[in-house]
Amino acid sequence: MDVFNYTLKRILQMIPVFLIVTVLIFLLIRAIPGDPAMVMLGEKATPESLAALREKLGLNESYIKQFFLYFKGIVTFDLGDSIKFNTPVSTLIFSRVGTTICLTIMSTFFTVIFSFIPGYIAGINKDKIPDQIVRLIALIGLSVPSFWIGLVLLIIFAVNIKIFPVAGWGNTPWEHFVGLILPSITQAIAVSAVLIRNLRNNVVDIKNSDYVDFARSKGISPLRISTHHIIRNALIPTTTLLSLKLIAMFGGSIVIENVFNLPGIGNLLVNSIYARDYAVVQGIVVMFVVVVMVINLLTDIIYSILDPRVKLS
Amino acid sequence: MAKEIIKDNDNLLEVNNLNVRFYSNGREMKAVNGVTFNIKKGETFGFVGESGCGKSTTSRAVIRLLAENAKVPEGEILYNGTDILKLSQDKLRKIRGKEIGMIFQEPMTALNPVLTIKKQVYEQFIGTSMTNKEKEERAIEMLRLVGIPSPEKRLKEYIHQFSGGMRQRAMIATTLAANPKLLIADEPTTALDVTIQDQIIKLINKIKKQMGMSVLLITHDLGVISQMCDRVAVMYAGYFVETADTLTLFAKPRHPYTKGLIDALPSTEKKNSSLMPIKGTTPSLAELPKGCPFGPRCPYCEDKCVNELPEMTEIESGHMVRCHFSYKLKNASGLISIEEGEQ
Ligand SMILES: Nc1ncnc2c1ncn2[C@@H]1O[C@H](COP(=O)(O)OP(=O)(O)OP(=O)(O)O)[C@@H](O)[C@H]1O
Ligand SMILES: [Mg+2]
Repeated sequence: MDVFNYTLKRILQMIPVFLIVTVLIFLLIRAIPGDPAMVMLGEKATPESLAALREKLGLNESYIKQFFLYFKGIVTFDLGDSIKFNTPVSTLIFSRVGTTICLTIMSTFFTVIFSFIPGYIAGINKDKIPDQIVRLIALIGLSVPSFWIGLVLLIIFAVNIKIFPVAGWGNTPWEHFVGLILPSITQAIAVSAVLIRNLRNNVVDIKNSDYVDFARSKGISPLRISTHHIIRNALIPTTTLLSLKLIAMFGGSIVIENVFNLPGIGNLLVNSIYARDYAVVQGIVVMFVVVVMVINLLTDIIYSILDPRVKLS
Repeated sequence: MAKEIIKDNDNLLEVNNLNVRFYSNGREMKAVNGVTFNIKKGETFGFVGESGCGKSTTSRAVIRLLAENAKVPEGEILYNGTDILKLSQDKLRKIRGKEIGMIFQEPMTALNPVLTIKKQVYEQFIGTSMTNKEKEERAIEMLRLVGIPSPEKRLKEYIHQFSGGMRQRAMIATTLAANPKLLIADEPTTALDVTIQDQIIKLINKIKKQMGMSVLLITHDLGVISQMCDRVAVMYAGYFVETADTLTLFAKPRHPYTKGLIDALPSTEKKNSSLMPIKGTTPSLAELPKGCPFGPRCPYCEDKCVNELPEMTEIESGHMVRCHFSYKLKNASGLISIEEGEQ
């Protein structure tokens, strides 16, 4: 099956999943206790203002009707208006998504550096000292939550040494860049441990494989054996795993952006949940669902390109 | 270089008193013990023996392709008079592939699954002055030589796209592309079904003549030995127990283990059609007995065998046996089982 047909098939398969997920989101948000109108108006609430707000939010309609309005909005790319900011949700998401994308790209960059190099070194030196050190670090990385790593980095590099901002991401592109370094490193540390282990184990298997022995028996240089036979093959599963970890990093931005106070989607989502800003929460969650499905699809396609044995079907 | 002149120049490869040890979990495994043999130009030499007796280890030691936990405490591997064990890594790489090529049992795992056959054949040409066109011509010529149809197309494919027999041919072509003088074939037919086995055996025999190669063939199948080898070494627990030319070995085996192996062959003759496997199991390589390694399974075993390791002894010209009582088998023919021979 070629990539085009395969993509088409996968998109068709996504439709029912997408439907189910939208229903779930709709129900979950309404399951959060508390009257949204009350929460929004707070202490100034009067019976009249509450009724007016409920009317405006469509909260007086039946759930069925609310759902259809909501679903119609999604398919026509009209995600409604934010009550808190009084702007269309799509505009709001658009203004914030850049931060999250930059964060994810930089996190991926650090992840590649933090995981590919130690993973390879550990695998090649199986059971020797470098391997034991790397494995220990990976184990620590696995058992420590990412927000904690973030806080420690903040205390060391922003509070004590003061080479990075404590929070926020400034106003100029350079300040954005500097502001993203600690959060990206935090994200990268959180996902690298799994990738290090994966790559290390791949390298261990492959360096003892028949085809590496066969390559050696041909008298090829050790460098070429590393690059063409060991690294290339070992990276196939790891790259696939990395692209799945992209999803984890995208989701992880919810925590990281709040720890570092970055104006991204994750930050917006949390604030919107506190504010009972239904439309924004729905819009962001729907966007996350689409992103996850697209990354999954791309992962499968990339895998089939990297490994000729894998057939798209 | 006086040394080289003194050497007997008929021998392409001469292995003297080779020992290989593996170290794992604090134990020492004596995988190869005092192995001595030579391979002449144009000759096919076979190793035969049960699984785990050290055939692969011995053959891999020849191009120093052993696992990291292996050591070679003693021995000499002379290729055209040069001791391979003493070569630098760079010089060793010049021998690998170009002088001594190797084919493995399982082509599916021995060829890199994510590189095309073409890339893997081309690796043999690294360091030569061949142009791309020459490389392609040579690669196609090799695939054609081993009988792969439409070689231009198949060159661009991956190993998983080949069928069983074609895979083995593709690996042979990859190895032969470097034009080695010695081909080490480690169980090249074991993974194949019978009809394809036969084709591959004929192919190697044909190519060997055509290219004037020597072959070191490893198998646990005496049938394959009889179809391919000029001379044979029978291995047991890391030792050579008998070496002879193939005809002599089959007609007049003088080691009880060899005889047991021959008797275990399903014979076409009626009286001996039942399988005659040798009772017992091979000793652990970590705890070899101090006497004859085959002693515990041997129908002729006596006190001397338990206490004293027999030396490899030449009983006739070119026929060596490691057995204190090989004369007992002097009049036994290859077709009588050990039990019957005893009576
Ligand atoms: N890396 C290693 N570490 C420890 N022991 C090993 C190692 N490689 C091989 N051995 C042991 O050395 C012995 C000889 O192995 P070898 O592969 O040479 O046997 P073989 O005669 O080729 O057997 P087979 O017919 O199964 O291929 C075996 O007992 C095996 O378990
Ligand atoms: Mg073997």
